[in-house]
Amino acid sequence: MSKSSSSVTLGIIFGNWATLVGVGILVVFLVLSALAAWPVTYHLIARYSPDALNFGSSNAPPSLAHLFGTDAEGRDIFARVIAALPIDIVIPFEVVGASVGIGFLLGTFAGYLGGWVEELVLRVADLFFAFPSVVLALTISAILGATDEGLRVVFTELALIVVGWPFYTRLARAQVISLKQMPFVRAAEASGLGKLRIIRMHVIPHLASVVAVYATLDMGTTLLLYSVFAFFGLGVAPPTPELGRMVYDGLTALPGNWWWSFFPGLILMILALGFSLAGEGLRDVFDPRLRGQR
Amino acid sequence: MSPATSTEDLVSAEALSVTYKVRTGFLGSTHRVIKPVDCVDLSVRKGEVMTVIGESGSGKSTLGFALLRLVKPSAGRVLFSGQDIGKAKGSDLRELRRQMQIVFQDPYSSLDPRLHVKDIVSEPLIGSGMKDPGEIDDRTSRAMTMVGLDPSAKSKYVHEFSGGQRQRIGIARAIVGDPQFVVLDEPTSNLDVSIQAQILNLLMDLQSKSGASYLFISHNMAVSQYVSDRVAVMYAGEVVERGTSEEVIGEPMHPYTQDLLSCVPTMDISRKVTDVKITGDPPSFADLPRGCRYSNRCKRAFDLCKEKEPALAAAGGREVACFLYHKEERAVAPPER
Repeated sequence: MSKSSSSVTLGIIFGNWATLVGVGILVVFLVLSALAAWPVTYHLIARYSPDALNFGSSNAPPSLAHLFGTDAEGRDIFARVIAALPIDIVIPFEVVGASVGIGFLLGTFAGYLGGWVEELVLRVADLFFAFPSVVLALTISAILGATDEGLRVVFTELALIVVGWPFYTRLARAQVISLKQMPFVRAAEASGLGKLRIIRMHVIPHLASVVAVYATLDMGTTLLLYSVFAFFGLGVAPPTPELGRMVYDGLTALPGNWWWSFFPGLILMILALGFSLAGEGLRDVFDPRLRGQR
Repeated sequence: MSPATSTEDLVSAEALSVTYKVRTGFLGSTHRVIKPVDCVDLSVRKGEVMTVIGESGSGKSTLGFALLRLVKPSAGRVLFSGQDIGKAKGSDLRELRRQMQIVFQDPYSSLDPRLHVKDIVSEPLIGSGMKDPGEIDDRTSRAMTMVGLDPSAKSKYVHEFSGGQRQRIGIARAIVGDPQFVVLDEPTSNLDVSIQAQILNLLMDLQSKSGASYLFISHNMAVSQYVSDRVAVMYAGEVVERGTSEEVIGEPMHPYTQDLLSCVPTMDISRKVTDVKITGDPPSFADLPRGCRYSNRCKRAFDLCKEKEPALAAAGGREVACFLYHKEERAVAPPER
């Protein structure tokens, strides 16, 4: 293999259409959400401000003037979708990132060290598993969210992390336990490598690919779950645009003014799809054995 | 066979036992203890090749792991040059690790697919605390050359190699730190027959050049005779016969060794072919027969065999654990199983 590792990575991204589509979707949305920070973006792309009320053209169906139509207050839905992107893209990264971080760390050590460390970690994880995750997160989010309107987004994310980490703990632990039995880990022990070094060299690289796939798939789910929270009045406070909130706001207008919830929902779906397709590609990058198989 | 064999022990296991707890019953409520290695005494002399022969599940690999402190013995101890390896800590342990290495059976799962060859081969050097990258690189290249690999393949991944080449990588990793003791855990049994001889020759070549002691774990009698100075035959966690390879393989005394040998196909028409088949399965560690562990499959078993367990004792120039060769008083204490 004469190619450098970065060109191999690029080869995987461009050599597989599904990965390409997934990464493409994420890149487009990331760029759009970065641009959404400047008001001028709306004038150039959507031609309307996301918060501008215009009762003269309320409930307009999709047209060239309003690509995604308008809502009851005459706000341009396309502009509001773009304005919602920064929040909707960042939330899954933060929630899943923190869940993975906590779960990965605890699960790896629980699995590798075993004994009472493992028991303790697993029992605490089980405790959180025992509750229906959505209900638990709703409760936490509702209780904390009532204390401070401004911090509601953070509390909702916190609630999702609280229900999210046990899964990654169990996933990492299960992987580590099977890896620990692999002869190459035994060989590393026979070579006198310390536990931390073995975990870093032989365990984490193998775990990373598995966890990355689950994590990216989970990002899509988290995105949707967050929208459920928005429905219950948690998370982002109106009038800040958020895709999930927009879907549920539009439910009352169904089936007549379908575009209120259809387009935010469609964008949510595409975004979730982008995460999962990119996740599959990520696995190929991590696993040298899959290289050169297509 | 190595010329430099001395009578001094390099590694010796003293009454070594390894037990595993198996959870049984509802929610693992009851424990059952199995002993894949049961009170084994074994020594490997300086510069010799010692073979441990046995069927799958006879505890021979576990014994190898225990000798390298890869599994913790439940009783007994392992001495390396007189030092108890179970008590070594810190830098002493790291030095011991450098002296003792292992080649695994499976050339696939024993090499981390995510590492470059050079990172795999140099692992024992790094484990022993070597820091100088130039020296590490030098010794890695040398080890690769010694096993017949081109050092320019250093930056490849293992999936680019064939099974035989992979086993060479595994061997390079084992010898890179100039160990005095190497455990070969069925190093050829996962390879094509055409490659097996190459790898065996390579191993024996490396052994005679380095003068290191090798413990060769195998289920192949023919190969064992070819490579080893001494042989120990294991059955159900115990050594049943032990001696020089000419004695044990040339003239086996224990019924199990005899039966094993008669299963080896041979081209030698002068050998009397007694078409013995070993019937039944090796006993499960969870359910060992009373008395001698081979008594339920042994064609020469008599009453005593089913009641008491024979101890390893001298007979016919080697040691055998069988009542055919010595009397009842050589039985081990009635087992508390």
